[in-house]
Amino acid sequence: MRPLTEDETRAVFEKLSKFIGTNVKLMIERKDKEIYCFRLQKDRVYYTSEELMKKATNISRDSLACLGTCVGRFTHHKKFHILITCLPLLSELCEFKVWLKPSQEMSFLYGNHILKAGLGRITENTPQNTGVVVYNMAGTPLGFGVTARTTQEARKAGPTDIIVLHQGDVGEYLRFEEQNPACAV
Amino acid sequence: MTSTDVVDAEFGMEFDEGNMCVFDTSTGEDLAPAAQALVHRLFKLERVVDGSLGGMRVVKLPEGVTAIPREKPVPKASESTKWEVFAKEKGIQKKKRDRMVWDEESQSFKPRYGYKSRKSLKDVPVLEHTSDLADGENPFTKKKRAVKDLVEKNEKKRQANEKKSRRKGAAPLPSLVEVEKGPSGKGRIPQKQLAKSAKIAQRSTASVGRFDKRVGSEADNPQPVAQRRKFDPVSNDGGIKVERKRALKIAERIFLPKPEPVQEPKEGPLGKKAKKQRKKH
Repeated sequence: MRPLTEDETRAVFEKLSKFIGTNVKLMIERKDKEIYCFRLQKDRVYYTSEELMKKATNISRDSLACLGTCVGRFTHHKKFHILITCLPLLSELCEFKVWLKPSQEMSFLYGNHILKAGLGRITENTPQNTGVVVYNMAGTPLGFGVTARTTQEARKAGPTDIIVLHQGDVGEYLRFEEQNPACAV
Repeated sequence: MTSTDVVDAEFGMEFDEGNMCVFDTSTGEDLAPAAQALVHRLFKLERVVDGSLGGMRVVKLPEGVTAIPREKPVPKASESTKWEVFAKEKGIQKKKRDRMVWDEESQSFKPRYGYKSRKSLKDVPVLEHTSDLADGENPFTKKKRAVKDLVEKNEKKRQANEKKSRRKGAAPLPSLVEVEKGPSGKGRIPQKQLAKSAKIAQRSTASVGRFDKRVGSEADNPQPVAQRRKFDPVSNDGGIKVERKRALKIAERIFLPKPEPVQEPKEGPLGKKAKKQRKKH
C-alpha cells in the first residue's frame, strides 16, 4: 500500500472527472469534513478514510486484500480503468444520469449497451462521450457507461440506436466474481 | 515447326527466359504451344564454350524478369582474397596436388608437408653450414624460425583478407567516424568525442570494465547506479495534509480552461501581398 504518485493521481482524477466533473475536489475536501485519501495496493486504487488506512498499515502488503472502496485499477500499460465497486461514489457525485426502463434492466445487467428503446429518462444537456451513471426507474444505481449521443440527438434516434455504451454494471459482482476486489478474501 | 507457327503461338504470351518461365495470358487451356515457344526461345540464345565444364557448349540465361519472393536477401558474393585476384590476373588455375610425394633419398612416399614430411628436420642429423649463417648460429634454429615466420606472415595475410571482406554494416565507435577537418586541413578527432568513445571502450569488456587495469591518466568510469523509485510514506502525521494539498492542486490543474491556440496572421507585414504591392509602385 502506498500513496499515488503525481502521474497516477492525474490519471485517476482525469478518469473520475469524466463522470463527476469538478466534484473530484469534493472527494478530497469532503462535505462531512472527514479525511479521505487514495491508496494504491497491488495495482488497485482505493479510496479510504485516513483512520482505516492507518489501521491497514499494520497488515503486510502481501496479506492486505483490500481496504475502503476500490475506485479502479492500473493496467500494465499504466492506464487507469474504473471499476464497478466505486458505483456508490459515482452515483453520489455524478453530473449526468440515465434512467432505464424496466424492460431493458436485465439486458444492461448482462453487459449490453443501452438502446433508445430502453431509455427511460436522461439528464438535460448531456454531451456526447461523457460518463453517465445508469439508474433504474426506482432510482437504484445499476452501473455506468459513456454516452454515444447527446440528449438532443437521443430524442431523434431510432429505437435500436445505442445511446449509452456499457462500461460497468452491478451484474459484474456475479459475472466476474473472481476479479472483484471486494471478493478478494 | 516453322517460324510463322512460333509467331502465332507467341501471341498473348509473356516470356521470362531468366527463370525459364512463360505466361500464357490468352486462353490458358492448351499449354503445349507455350512450352514449345519457350524452348524455341531458349535455343535461340547465344551459346558459349565453357572451359570449366570440359569444353561443353552452354547458354547463359539472361537476368530474370519475374520478381520471385524470397525471405532473406540474396547473399552477396564474398570479396576475393589478394591471392585470388593475383591468380586471376596471371591466369593461374587451382590444381589438386597429391598429398604424398616420392622421396628419392629414402626411396619412399612422404607427405608433402607437415609431420614426417620431406622437409621435416626430425630425422636430419646434420645440416650444411652455409655462407649466409653468422658465426655460431645454429642452422636448425634458423630453419625453424624461418618456418615460424612464414606461418606468422600467412596468418597476417589471412587476417588482412578477412578484414577486407568483413561486413561493412558493423558500426565502429561513434567518435572514430566523426572525423573533422582541423585548421591545418588534416582530419582529426575532436577531444570530447575521443573521450566519449574511450568511455564506451572502458565498459566494453566482460566485466563491464570493473577489473581492468587503468592505463596512465585514464579516469575511472564507474557504472551509474540505477536510482530507486521513491514513493511517499504510506502514512505520517504531516504527510496526509501535504498529500491532500497536492491532490487538490492536481485536480485544479485538470479543470483549468485550456488556453486556446493563438492564431498568427498568415501574411506578415512583409508577406506576399505587401511585396506584390511594392512591385506595383
